Amino acid sequence: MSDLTIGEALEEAAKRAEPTRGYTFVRDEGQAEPFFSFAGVERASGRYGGALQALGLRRGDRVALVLPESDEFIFTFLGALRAGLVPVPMYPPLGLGQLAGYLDNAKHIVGRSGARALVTTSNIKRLLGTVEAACPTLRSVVAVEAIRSAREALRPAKVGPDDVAFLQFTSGSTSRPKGVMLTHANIAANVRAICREGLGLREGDVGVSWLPLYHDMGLIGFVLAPLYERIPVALLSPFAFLRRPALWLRALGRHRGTVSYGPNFAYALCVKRVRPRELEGIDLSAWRVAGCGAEPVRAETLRAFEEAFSPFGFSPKAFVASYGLAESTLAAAFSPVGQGARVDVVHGPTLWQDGMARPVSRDHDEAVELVRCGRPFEGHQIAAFAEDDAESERPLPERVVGELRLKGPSTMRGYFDDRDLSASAMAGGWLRTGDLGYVADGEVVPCGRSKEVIIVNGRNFYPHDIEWFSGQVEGVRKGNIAAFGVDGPAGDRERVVVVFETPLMGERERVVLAGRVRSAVQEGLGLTVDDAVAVAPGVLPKTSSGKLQRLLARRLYLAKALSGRDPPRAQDRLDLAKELLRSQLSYVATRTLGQRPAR
Amino acid sequence: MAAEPERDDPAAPTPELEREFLALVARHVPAGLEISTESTVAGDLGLDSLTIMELFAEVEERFGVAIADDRLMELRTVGDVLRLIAAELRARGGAPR
Repeated sequence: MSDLTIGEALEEAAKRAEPTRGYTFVRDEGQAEPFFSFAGVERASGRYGGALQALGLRRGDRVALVLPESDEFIFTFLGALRAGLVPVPMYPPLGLGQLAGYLDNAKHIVGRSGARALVTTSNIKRLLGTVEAACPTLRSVVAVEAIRSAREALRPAKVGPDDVAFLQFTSGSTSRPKGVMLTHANIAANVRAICREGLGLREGDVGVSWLPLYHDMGLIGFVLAPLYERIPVALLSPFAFLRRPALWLRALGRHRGTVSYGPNFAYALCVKRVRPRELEGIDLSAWRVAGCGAEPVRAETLRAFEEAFSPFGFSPKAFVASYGLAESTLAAAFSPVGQGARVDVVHGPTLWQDGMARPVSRDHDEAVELVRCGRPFEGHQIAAFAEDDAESERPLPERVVGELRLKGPSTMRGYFDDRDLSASAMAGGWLRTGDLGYVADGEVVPCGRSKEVIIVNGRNFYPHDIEWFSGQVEGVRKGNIAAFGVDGPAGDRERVVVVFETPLMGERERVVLAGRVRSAVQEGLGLTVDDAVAVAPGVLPKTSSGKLQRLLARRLYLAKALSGRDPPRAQDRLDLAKELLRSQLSYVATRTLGQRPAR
Repeated sequence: MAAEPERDDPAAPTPELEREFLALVARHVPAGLEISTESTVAGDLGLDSLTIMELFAEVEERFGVAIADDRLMELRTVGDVLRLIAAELRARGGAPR
């Protein structure tokens, strides 16, 4: 079967799909939900693509998208593709008072991608002046309102399956965002594997998603896959979900959604925030695939979700755990649909000390539960390798922990404009994931990031586990904790450091809190924490998408720069005002003083 | 519009509104932490982005005022949020409940 480009997939869907199929954009409840059939999407995206061409953009030019509204994002994204442009999805500036960090990151992405145009809303455009000034390749920042009302005809570009479709910027825990290059063939291959093999897509399936579209899971999973497979999808705004998680479940009920996805935290958020009365009359029994991925899946989270929502028809058999990464388009393995989350129960000390996953019974004192993510898709391979196996010559036997590496048609072309980085991502034809894990009965079982594992007396500890136990202490900011190891004074063993954020400023309160963190980790994992450090909120370094940067935190700790580091509170209103002003001024300067041609 | 003649700044939040909002905020911070209108929401009070979203949902429920997503960048302190709520209430023409 030949690979369709994304544009061809849209044309096919417009021609062949029933007119009742397409995207529904869920607004606030009580408001109408605009629906676009695939034919309607083809028409709308054609106008957006024509408007982009009218800006003077040419085939292969990158165009950055900062569009919080799903409909505008989709029309611009698909329009750009059909015009032969390479879209670069970026997240919108929506953090509370974090403009400076946002702009810094936006400059990096626009600069690295060499984007010639950036499409955004007129509200956000006001804030992006310094980005325009700092990026010489960027010729225009365009308000989407102007594109929306344009009536230029699209001149469809000739695009082939091996052309780069778009750049997906991902932020690692150790580096600045890197631009993953995905071809149309990558997308077609991964979407086919996900939908046919992974989900076993069937007639009557309906997708429901609140996932951000500037992220691979939302964009590929719930915009592109439905296009290739011609299934209807209802899309909610991620912010609506974060404000009121019940909206996700209510939309699933209303649209009889069968397939929906979320990271582990989304399921935890529902348990914490959804009140039973918000779900009155809601029936979740159609939901047959409740997918989890993108971050480690915790068995206890899924159990809590099942307990809370089975009264509304949710079946725990719907849980599907998946494994993948942006460098491999989206997914590489799915646990079998219809079987629920399946855990591998292994002996903790043997896993940590010897890197061996030895099965034990669930009630064993030292049992550890790890979620199985299924077998790799057809044509794809996943194996564990010793980290120093630079050419991937010796795959490790089953149940031996190593670095997970992938091979197959979903693997990216490389990182955009970065040969060295692209080369270092590969090892003898295999994509290095940086994730630790093992293979059991042919299934992949991930257990952490390899560079971040802490080794104490030959035992491996995963930072996620240490942080999870620390986060149970009241007064510690959950999710704002970094655990890492540093060399001991004699280099004999690693010292274990936990840095946690707390709003409590009193010296005494902080000492007490540090003591509680130590005991929580001691009790939970039998691990002694050598140093527990309280810092103010915002001190721990994160990527602008909110991922904790443990290795950077470690460097700062070693440089004794953590406690002296300015939390955001030290950056006063004046700074914000200055940054805003600078941003708007340089925007005005580029516009009216003609420092650079407008187009 | 519920103008209060004794106040200099008609845009200022009423003391009742301030008290109620601070009480909402207090439910999300550890006991013993002082909250004022000067406190920065993410910095001093340590609210993470998920908690902030939860707080805004409560604001919407309690005061009937939605805080638009594209205003978030401009908000830093408790006072910033309060003023925005007060302005929204005024724009709606209703007095704070």
